Amino acid sequence: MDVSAKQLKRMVYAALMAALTAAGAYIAIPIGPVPIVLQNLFIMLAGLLLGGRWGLISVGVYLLAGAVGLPVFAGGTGGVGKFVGPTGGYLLGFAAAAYLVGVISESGHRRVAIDVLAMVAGTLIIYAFGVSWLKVVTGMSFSKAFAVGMFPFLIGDALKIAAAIPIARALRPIIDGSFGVARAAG
Amino acid sequence: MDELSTIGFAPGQSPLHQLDPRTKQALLMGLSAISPWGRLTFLVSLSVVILLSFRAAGIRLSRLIGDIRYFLLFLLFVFVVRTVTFSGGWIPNISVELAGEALMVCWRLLMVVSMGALLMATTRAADIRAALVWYLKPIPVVDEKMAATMVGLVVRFLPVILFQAAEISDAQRARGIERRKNPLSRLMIFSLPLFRRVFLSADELVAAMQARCYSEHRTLPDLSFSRHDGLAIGAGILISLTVLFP
Repeated sequence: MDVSAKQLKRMVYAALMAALTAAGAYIAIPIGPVPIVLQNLFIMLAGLLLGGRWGLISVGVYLLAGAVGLPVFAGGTGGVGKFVGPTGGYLLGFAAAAYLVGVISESGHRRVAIDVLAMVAGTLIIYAFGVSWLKVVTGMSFSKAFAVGMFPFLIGDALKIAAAIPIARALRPIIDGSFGVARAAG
Repeated sequence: MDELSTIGFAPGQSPLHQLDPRTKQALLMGLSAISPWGRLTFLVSLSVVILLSFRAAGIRLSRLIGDIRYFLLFLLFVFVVRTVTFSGGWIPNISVELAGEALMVCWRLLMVVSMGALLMATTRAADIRAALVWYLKPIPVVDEKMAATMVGLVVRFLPVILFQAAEISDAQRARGIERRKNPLSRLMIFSLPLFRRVFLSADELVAAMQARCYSEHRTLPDLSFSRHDGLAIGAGILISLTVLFP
C-alpha cells in the first residue's frame, strides 16, 4: 500500500473519529441523577487512538464542521457564534486536549500511568479554556464559573478517564492492525 | 435524532437563499464576532433584520424556538445567576441594574444562535463545503480540500453513528444492562462495540474510496458573487456600525 493510500486511511479514521465526537454530544448513558455525556471521553480517545497530530486534526475537523454551521455541537446547534458563546472555551479546549493527550501518550509509549497522566492533563486544559471563557462571556465571578462550569463534572471525568484506559487498550490493536497490514502489504 | 433533523436546509427562493454562501458565512462570522460590544441600538437593529429574514425565508419562529429550547433554558439560567445576588443572609437580592445587563448578555447570545440557524436553513451542504474550500485556501498549514472532504464525511456519518449508538443501546437494554449499576463498566460496554463498528466501517469506506479512484481533485459547485451580495455586505457593515451607539 503506497503513501497516499495510508494517508487516505488515516484521513478517514480521523474524519470518523470527528463524527464520533459529534455524536458524543448527543449520546448519554442514563445512570444516576446526571446522565454521563460521552463527548469528552471521545475527545480523550481521539488523542489516545490517533496520536497527537491526527487527534488534533480530528477535533479540528469537528470544530470546523461546527463553525460552518453544521449542527454538531451540544443541543443540536452549530455556527461560528458558538465559539463566541458561553461554552466556546470548552470547544477550543477540546482541540488542545486531544493534541496534548496524543503527544504525551505517544512519548510515554502507551504506558498506562502515562496515559492516565495525559488524560488528567487533557481534562485540566479543557477546563482551563472552558471556565475562563465562561467567566469572560457571562461576567460571573471565578468561584461561580467554577461552580457552574467545572465542579459538577469532575466525578464523571474521573470515571471517563478510568474507562478510557481499557477502551484504548482494546481498540489499539484494531487500528494498529489495519495500519500494520498496510505496512506488510506495502 | 430529532435534534438533528429539525434545523436543516429548507429549499426556497428568498433573498437569503440566493446569497452566495461565502457572503452568508462572512456575515455570520463578522456579526457574531462584533456582538459582545453591541448595545441596545445594535441589538434592536440586528433583531429586526433577523426577524425579517426569518419571515422572508419562510421559517416559522415556533420551529426555531422548538429547535433551540435547551439553549433558551440555558439563557434563563444565565439570566437568573446574573440577576439574583445573595448579599448577606438568605434573602435573595434582585437589582434592576443587574437585570438589564443580564438581559443584554442573553439577547446577544440569542442573536448569534438565530443567525446560525438562518445560515443552515437557507444553505445547501454542498455550498457550505464549497465556501469552506474557498475560505481555507489562503490558510497555509490547512489542506483545504482534505478538510472539506473530512467535514463532508462527518456530515454523512454522524446520522449513521447515532443510529448505531441507538441500536447498541437498545440491544443492551433488551439484555438487562440497566441492572448493572457500575458506571465504569457501563461506559466500557457501550463504547467498545460502537468504536469497533465505526472503525470497521472506516475500513470499508477506505476500500470503497480506493476502488473508485478517490483523489483530492474534484469539481466544486460554481460560486459567484452578485449585486445582492454587495448589498448584504453593505447592510452588515451598517448594522456593525450601530455598535458605536449606546
